[in-house]
Amino acid sequence: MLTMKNAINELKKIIAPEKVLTSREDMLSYAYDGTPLLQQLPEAVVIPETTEQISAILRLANREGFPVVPRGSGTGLSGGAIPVRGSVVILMSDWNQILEIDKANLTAWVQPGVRTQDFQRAAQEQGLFYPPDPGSQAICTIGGNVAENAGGLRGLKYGVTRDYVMGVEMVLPDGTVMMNGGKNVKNVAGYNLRDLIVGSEGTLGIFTRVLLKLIPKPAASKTMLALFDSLEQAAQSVSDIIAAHIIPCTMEFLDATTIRCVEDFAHIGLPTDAGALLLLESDGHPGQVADESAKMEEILKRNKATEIKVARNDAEADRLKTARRAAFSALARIRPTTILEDATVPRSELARLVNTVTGLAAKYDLMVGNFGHAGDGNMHPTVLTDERDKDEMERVELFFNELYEETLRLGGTITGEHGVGLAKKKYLEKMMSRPEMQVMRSIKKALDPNNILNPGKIFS
Amino acid sequence: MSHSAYYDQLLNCMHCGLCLPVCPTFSITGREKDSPRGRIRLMKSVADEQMDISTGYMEALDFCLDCQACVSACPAGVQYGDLLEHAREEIYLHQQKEGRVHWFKKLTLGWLFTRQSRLRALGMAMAIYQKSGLKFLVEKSGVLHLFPEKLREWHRLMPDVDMKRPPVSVASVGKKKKAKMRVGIVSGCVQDIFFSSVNRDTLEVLAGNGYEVYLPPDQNCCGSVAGHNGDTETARELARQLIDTFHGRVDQIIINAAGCGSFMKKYDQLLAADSAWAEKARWFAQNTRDIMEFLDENGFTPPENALDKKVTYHEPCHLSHAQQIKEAPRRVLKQLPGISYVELPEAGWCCGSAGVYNITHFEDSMILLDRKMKNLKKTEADIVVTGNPGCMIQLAYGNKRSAFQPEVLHPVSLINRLYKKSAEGNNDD
Ligand SMILES: Cc1cc2nc3c(=O)[nH]c(=O)nc-3n(C[C@H](O)[C@H](O)[C@H](O)COP(=O)(O)OP(=O)(O)OC[C@H]3O[C@@H](n4cnc5c(N)ncnc54)[C@H](O)[C@@H]3O)c2cc1C
Ligand code: SF4
Ligand code: SF4
Repeated sequence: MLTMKNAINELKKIIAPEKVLTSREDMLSYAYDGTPLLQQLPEAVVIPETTEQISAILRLANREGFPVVPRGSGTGLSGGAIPVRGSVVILMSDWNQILEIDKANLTAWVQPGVRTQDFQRAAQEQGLFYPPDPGSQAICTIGGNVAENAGGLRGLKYGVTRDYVMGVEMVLPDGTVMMNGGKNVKNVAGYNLRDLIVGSEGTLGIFTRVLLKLIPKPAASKTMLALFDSLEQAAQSVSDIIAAHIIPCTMEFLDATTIRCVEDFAHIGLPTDAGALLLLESDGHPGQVADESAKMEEILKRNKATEIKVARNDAEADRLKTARRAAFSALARIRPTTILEDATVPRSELARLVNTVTGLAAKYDLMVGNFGHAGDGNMHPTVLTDERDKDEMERVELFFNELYEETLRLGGTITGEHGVGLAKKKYLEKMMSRPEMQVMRSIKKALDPNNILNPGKIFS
Repeated sequence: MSHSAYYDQLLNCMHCGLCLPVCPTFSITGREKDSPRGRIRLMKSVADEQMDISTGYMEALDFCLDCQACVSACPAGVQYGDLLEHAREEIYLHQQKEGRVHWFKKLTLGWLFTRQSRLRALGMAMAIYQKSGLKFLVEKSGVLHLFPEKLREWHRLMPDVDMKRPPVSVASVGKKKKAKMRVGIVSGCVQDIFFSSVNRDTLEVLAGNGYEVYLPPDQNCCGSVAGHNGDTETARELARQLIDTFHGRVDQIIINAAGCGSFMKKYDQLLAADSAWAEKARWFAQNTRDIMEFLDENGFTPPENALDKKVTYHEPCHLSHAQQIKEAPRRVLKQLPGISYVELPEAGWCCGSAGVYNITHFEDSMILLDRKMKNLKKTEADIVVTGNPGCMIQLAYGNKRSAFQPEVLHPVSLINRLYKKSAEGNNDD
C-alpha cells in the first residue's frame, strides 16, 4: 500500500494538480456538512472534470485502500458528506450544467452539481415544474438530493426526489460506469435498481448524470397562513384536512418558538405570541384551487384558527415559503448549538408525536423548537442547546433516545428525509429487522467489496 | 468585540450553507474556504488553535469583500461583519508583533487616512496631474504600455478629482428661527476629494428642506478604512475626533457614504470599553442617518419639475447589507416626478469596489463589475444611482469597459438636479 502522500501524487496524475486540494485551510473547510457536532478532516479534496477521472480515482482507491467520500454542497443533515478518516473527498458541485430539457418527453438530463433551485427555475422558464423543494434548495445539489432522497414543502401532494428520478449514470465503487433507467415512462425489465440508487447516501456509486421527470406547471395556486393558540388545534386541523380527502400541495407546521425565530429573521409580520402556525398551499386547476382552499379555510376556522392570511400574489406567497424554509437555521439564533431531528410517523399519529416532543422537552428541561412537514407526518424537533454544557448535552442524548423509542412505538421512522449517515446509525439497528440489515449489508458488500465508498455511513 | 463574544458568534453559525449562494467570492471560485461558511470555520479553527494565522488564512480573509450579503442571507443572525473585523484585527496585531505590516498599509492607514489634509494634498497633486493635461499626455504618449497591464488599468480606474469644494468657510447654513432640526454633515475622506459635489448637493438639499446644516471644514476620516483593515486603535482615535466635531452641536449626523455610515453606526461598539467616550459614542451611533434614510424618515419637498428619465438603483453593500437599509432609497426615488424607476437585477450583488478591493484584487473585482454592467444593461436605464463613493468610482470605471454607459449619480445629486431644474423653471434636461 502506498502512503497517503504517494496516493495524492497518483491522484495528481489522474487530474490536474490544481484540482487536488490539500492545504490545511481547504481540509478544514471540507471537514463538515450541515450536521451539528460532527467533523473530520480529509486527506485531500479532488475536483474531477470527467467521468473517466472518477473511474480512475475509484480504481486507485481500491488498489491503495483509501476511502472516498462524494460531496455536493455539504448541506446534508446526517453527516453523509463528512469525510471519514484518511479519505479523499470527491467534490461534485462544479458539475453544474443542465444538459437537456426535453419538452416532448417532459424530462431533463442534469449534472449532479446543479443546484435544485437553479433547475426549478430553468424548468419553469419552459413552462414546466420540478416539485421537490427542500428547505436548502437555493444551494443543495441534485446529486445530494438523489443520494438522500430529499423531500420538501411540496412532498404531500407531489412526493419526494425518488418520484422524479427516471435514470442515473453513475460510477460504481470498482470504477465501472453504469447507466440505469431512461425516458420510458414504464419499464419493468429486471430489478428496480432505481429505488436502490435513490437514497444510497453516497455509498453505492457516484452519480455523474441524472435524468429527471418534469410535470406541467399547475395553472393556479393559493397560499395561506393560519394561526392558532395551541399546538393541538393546528395538529387537529392537519388530521381533519386529510380526513376530508383534501391533499394540498403544502401543509407545514411551526410551533411558537420557531415562529418567533422566523419572524426575527424574515420580518413578515407573524404575530410572535401565536401558539402554532400552518402554512398551506393549494395548486392545480383554478376551480379546484378555489374549492379546495374554501374547504380548508372552513376546517381551519372550525379548529379555532385565530387568523387566516391569504397571500395576495406570487411574491407574497414566495416570501411566506422562503420564511418557512429558513425555519431550521433561524432557530439557531437562540442558543449556540442547534440539533435537529427527523422523526416521522403515520399522519394519524401526528398530534401524538407533537405532544410527545412537548412532554419530553419539559421532562429533560430542554429548549425545543418544533416544525416540519405536517402533512407528511414528518417533524423536525430541534433542541436548542450549548455543546459546551456537558450536563445539558447528556439530557439532550436522553431526550432523543426516548423520542425515537416513542416514534418507533407509534409505527414511525427515525428519518423521513435526511438519511441515516453517521448521525442515526445507532437508531437504524433498532428500527430494522435482522434480515433487512443483512440484505443491505450484502448489497454493499457485493458492490463495494473493499468498502472504499463512503464507508461507515448508514451502518458499520 | 470581546473574545468570548467573538467565540459565541462563531458558534452561532450552524453551517447550514444558506449564505453560500449570495457570496460573490464563492461564486467566483466555488471553493468552500472562499465562502462565508468556510471563512467562519477557518476563524473558528484559529480560535480553537487547530490552525495558526497562516498565509492561506490571511489570503482567505483578504479575498472577502466584506460586502455582508451573507449577513442578509443568514437566518441564524450571524454577524459576519463583526466577525471579520475582529479576525482582521487579530491578523493586524499578529503582523505587528511579527513586524510584518506591509509598508503600504502602514503608510495608508497610519499616516494618509489619519489626516484629511494629507489626503487632500494627494488629491490636489492628482488634480494638477489630471487638469494640467499631463494625464492626457501620459495616456496618449503610450508611456503606459511600458507598465504591466494592472497598473495601466488602475490608472484608468482613478476618477477625476472634483475641485468644486463645498463652501467650507460657511460652517453653518440655512439657519432660520424655525429650522426643523440642526443636522451635521460628515464630509467623508474619499467623498470630500473625488465627489465634493455630492457633499454640496447634500448640503443644498437639506438646507432647501428647512434644516439648519452644519458642515465643519477639515474633518478627518471616520476610521472605517483603518477599522476594516484591522487597525482598531487608529480607528478609535479617528472616531473620537469625529464625535468631538459634532457632539453637542447638532441633533443628527448625516452621511452620504454608505461605507462610512455603517462604521459610524457602530461607534458604540468600537468605544464601548472607553468609559470617557462610551456615552457620547452611543449618542453618535444612535443619531447617525444615511441621507436617503433621513429623507425617507422625515419626508422632503417634492421637486416641482419632472425629469423624464429611466432610473435604476444599485444597492451599496454597506447600506443594504451592513445597515439593512434596502427600501428607503427606492421609496425616495419613486417619489421623484417624471422618473420611471426600473429595478436592477441582482441589485444587492457587490459591484467589486469594496474599499480598495479593486486595487488589491483587480481581476476578481472586474469579474464582479462586468456582471454588474451586464445587469445594468438589462435595465436600459439612463441613470444609475448609488449612495457610496466606492461604488460610484467602480461603476464609472465600468462605463469605460462597457458599451452600455448609464450616467452614474449619487441619489442626493439626482434630487438636487431636479430642485435646480425647478428653480430654473426649465423643462429640458
Ligand atoms: C437549512 C436546511 C434545510 C433543509 N431542508 C431539507 C428539506 O426540507 N428536505 C430534505 O429532505 N432535506 C433538507 N435538508 C438536508 C439537505 O439539504 C439535503 O439532504 C440535500 O439533499 C443535501 O444536498 P447536498 O448537495 O448539500 O449534499 P451533501 O450534503 O454534499 O451530500 C449528501 C449526501 O449525498 C452524497 N452525494 C452528494 N453528491 C453525490 C453524487 N454526485 N453522487 C453520489 N453521492 C453524492 C454525499 O456523499 C452525502 O452522502 C436541509 C438542510 C439544511 C441545511
Ligand atoms: S453564516 Fe448563517 S447562513 Fe451561513 S452557514 Fe452560518 S448559519 Fe448558515
Ligand atoms: S462579506 Fe461578502 S464576500 Fe465576504 S463572505 Fe460575506 S458574502 Fe462573501
